Amino acid sequence: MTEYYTRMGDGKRVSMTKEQIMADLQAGTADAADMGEIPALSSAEMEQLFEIIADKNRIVGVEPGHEVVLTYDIGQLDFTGDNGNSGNGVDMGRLESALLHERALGADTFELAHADYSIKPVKPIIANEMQTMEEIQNEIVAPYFYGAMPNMGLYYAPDGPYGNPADLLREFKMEESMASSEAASEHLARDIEYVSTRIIQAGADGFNFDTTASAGDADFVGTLKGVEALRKACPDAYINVGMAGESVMGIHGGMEYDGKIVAGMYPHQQVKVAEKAGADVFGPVCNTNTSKSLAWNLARSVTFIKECVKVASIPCHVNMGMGVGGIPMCETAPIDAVTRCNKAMVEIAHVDGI
Amino acid sequence: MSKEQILADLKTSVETWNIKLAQDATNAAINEGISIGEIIGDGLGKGMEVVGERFDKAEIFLPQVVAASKTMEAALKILEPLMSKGEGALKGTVVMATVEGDIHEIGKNVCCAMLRGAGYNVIDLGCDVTAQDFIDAGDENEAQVLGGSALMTTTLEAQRELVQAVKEVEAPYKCIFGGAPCSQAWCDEIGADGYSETANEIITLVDKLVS
Repeated sequence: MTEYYTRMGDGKRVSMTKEQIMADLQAGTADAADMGEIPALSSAEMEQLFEIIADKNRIVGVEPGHEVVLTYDIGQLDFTGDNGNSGNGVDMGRLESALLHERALGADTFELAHADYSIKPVKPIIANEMQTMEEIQNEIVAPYFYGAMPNMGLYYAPDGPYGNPADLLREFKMEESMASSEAASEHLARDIEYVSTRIIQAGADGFNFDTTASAGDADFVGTLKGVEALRKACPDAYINVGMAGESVMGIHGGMEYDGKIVAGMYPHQQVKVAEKAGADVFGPVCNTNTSKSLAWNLARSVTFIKECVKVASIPCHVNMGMGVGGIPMCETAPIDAVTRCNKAMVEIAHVDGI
Repeated sequence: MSKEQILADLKTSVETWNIKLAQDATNAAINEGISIGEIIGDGLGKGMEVVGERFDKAEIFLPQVVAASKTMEAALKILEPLMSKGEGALKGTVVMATVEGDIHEIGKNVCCAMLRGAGYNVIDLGCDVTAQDFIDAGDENEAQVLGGSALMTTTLEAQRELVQAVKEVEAPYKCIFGGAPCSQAWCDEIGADGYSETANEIITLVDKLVS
């Protein structure tokens, strides 16, 4: 029986028969449909996914004319960072990195980022970031944003002024835990407004909120309120809200935005509140399960993202990297898996960008 | 009040994390002569099952699971004097922690709440805990089960180290594991005694191991 070369979610090489791949595609889409209460992929779409996975070429792509916008997060850190934060350990300046992405790597947009890639540590050095932004804008042609994670975890002890909800819950201090989340959320919104409005005033073409809701529902609400404030202060700013995970964790459980509890929201629900807050682009995420096959993960991701694109009124640029979008969770994601997942997202989920 | 109504109130109290209702229904159950086994198994425990199912479906979240667990504990406190006489004593002791090198503990905290709600004495050591600390806590608390969570592929190895450490000292503990990168296949490979994919499943798993 013919076997096809494919991957597990941790990147391990495996061979599977068509029957095995189809069974995993079925199980993956069924899991997403069940969790998100959304439609599963059709038989024709799963057959199309199988063809993409079983392609004999190491690298696959879309037909000419079907290309989508490509942009990058984490700014210059993908060159300068070490292996601990997804970088290549190649030292270079921020200007050089930006120009390399624009002129050599074909990035349609790019961004400036702080070494910690978080809102909070940018506050005390905002003047330096504003100056760098202005200098690079004088050289670069592609839209050049500022990028940072809301990363509300930095507002909790021991890094910040508010009690850590995980510690408080362990001590059965539910009310204190929830109050701490609410206070941190408000603080985050204020900091987002401070950082983002200044960097836009320095000439940034937009702001990329990366890994939103990584600290749960209060992080998401704080970011949405920050986006609201930025939209009000800078009506023409291009705002991208990208997520941390497929579901918003309920660390508080009762935080609302636009009258809706945000905990437990899946991509097709997240995009609607991002729109309401004033985002121009939404970056949906679906997480990879390292114990399942590429087929299972990809079918599941495409199911979630397809529904998100379907209901969205703004463009969706899906997050595609290690551990998301069906791509295996390993430091340097294998190119065979990366290109298959991207092709599937464009051709079946119909994303507007990657 | 009928026995059925009291058991229903016990279940509802945990489902809605209503401590006053849990205390009133527990006292009513004792007065009516309902056995402790039924109070926990057919009343409070049924409520915790619903809480677990709703958490799995993302209908409720971490604070609500902890609140349900606290409600369960309030009821168990009333039952404690009767339990010490024999019937319905705590089902066992489980040492829980996130393994060495890993600081992610949300999933582990939910599991702790579920186990407490199911009538176990849970010793929560927090995160980044060495194999030796697991074993020491097991010895001090006469535990039956050690549960180790890992959220990263890089810290899965610490689960294997815990199994090896327990075997080396010939300790009687059952080792169970969970966490995003963990799987049944991994647990089989390292010789673990059990794997729990969800917080709800951990109760059935531990029940099976300590029975």
